[in-house]
Amino acid sequence: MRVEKLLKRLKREFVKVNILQASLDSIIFFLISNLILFLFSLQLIEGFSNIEALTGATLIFFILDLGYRTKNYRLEIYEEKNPELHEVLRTARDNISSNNIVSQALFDDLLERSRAITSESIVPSKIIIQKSIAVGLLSFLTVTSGIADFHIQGNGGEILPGTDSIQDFISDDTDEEFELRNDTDIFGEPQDIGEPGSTVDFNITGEGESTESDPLHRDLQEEDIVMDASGPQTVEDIELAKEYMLAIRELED
Amino acid sequence: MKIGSRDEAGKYEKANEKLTQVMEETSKVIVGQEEIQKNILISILCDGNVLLESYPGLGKTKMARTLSQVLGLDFSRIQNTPDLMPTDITGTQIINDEDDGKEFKFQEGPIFANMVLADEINRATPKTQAALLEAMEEKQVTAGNTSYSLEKPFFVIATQNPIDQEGTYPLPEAQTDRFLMKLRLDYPDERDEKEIVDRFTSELNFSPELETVLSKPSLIKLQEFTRKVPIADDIRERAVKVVAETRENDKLDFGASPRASMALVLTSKARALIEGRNYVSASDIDAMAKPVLRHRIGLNFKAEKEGMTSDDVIEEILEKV
Repeated sequence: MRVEKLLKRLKREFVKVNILQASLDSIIFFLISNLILFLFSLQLIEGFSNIEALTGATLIFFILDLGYRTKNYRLEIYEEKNPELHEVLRTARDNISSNNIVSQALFDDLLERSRAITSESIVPSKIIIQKSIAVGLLSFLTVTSGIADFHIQGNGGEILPGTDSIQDFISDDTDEEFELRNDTDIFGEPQDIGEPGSTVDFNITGEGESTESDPLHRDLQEEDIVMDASGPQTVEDIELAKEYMLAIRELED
Repeated sequence: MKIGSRDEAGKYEKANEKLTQVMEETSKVIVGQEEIQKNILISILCDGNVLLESYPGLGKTKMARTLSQVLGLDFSRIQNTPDLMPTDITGTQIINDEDDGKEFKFQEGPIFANMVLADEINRATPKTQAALLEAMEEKQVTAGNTSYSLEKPFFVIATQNPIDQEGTYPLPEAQTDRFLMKLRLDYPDERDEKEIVDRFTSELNFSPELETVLSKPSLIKLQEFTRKVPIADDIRERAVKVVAETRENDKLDFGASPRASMALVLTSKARALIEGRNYVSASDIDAMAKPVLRHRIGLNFKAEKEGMTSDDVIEEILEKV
């Protein structure tokens, strides 16, 4: 259990070192980008100040850098930097569930030795110094160029289009105002289709009666069929259809 | 909980101190040969047996006797000859003439000791060798229909002369595999030889007072400790790879068996314990590879023609793996 805690502590120490490294990398990234944008009078994203855009980009850079560094965690890093722990850490890790005298002695020994282990032992001091110098140099250049207002290029324009530009691009094609209209506005008021000029009206009326003396006798007293002729247009259509039919037959013959 | 843990660690430290003391006591008699002494002690801790190849007059008997005294073990020596019978080693049934009649009684042979030095084992006939090797392997001897267990700890140092091959019965590979280690005892260097001459010619009977550092039960406890020494997975894998490589090597007719893998890991654990470490290091594997593997591999004709030795091939394998 104590060794598990130790291994976790070592990982935390490793993360600490990587936060430091990732922070320095991010600062360098920010300063270099800022300097380039300033010297060439560039704007990273239209509508946003360079500081805002670079802050966002630097934050993303920091997260990715830290993630990448932390992913490469190996316990052997401590062994390389602390030769006195060579093989001890690995053995303890691989035998963490072991509970006998010799393992306990190993764990005690490891805990004793690991008291001296801090993040400092795995800090690549040479690289940290180099990066710190780079940060100082870049800061100096940034301040100097800002005071002198020194630009290599007067107006470099934009690197990435801003959101305003994208809006402009959309609105270029649609200068005319338009509004949504319903079908009544387009096609006018709906009209009922008019009744045909003539109707065919069948009216069949039947009537029958039976008498008590002769129940089987039926007498149709009245049959009234009313038929109205079709209108003149229908007749013309029929005539036309008939002509077509005849013409088709002739062609077929 | 923490106090308990400290106690455990304390026991381990005490064990480690005792082993260092064993080495110091032995060096009161034996000059130099620290590596051989250490390897014999490793073999004892592993409950294994040693095949010692050396020229006559290098102090093998002295070393074994001194170690047994320091470790509090009973010692016996068997000088192997072609006419030595198995019963001469194991013991035999004798007729015991008592007042109330005669009865068969088992008379224990020289094998009934904690540490047995079997000198020139290759001079004994295969039948006698087999009896000795059975005792090594089974920790018991059989006489008639009865089996007799040997007292623990039981340890054999068998020696053989590397040059005198006439009238010998070389141990077959299957039997040499039963020895945990094969050690080579070389001539001492000039400085050590001067010290030996000085030490053993100044007094009629040079026998310094030796302290018995360990008892039999504590030695058995140390054997248990040895097996508990933790080893990292990658180091264990390396040991297995080294042994497996002997089966693939084109300079060898045959390689080492899985028994060799076990022996390599176990001896490395014992070495770590003697060195005062509570974990096995890769250097332990490297140091134990030759003693553990040299008698378990067979060079092919081509390699022998090139003048290579088993140790050369093992070195190559260690560099490769």
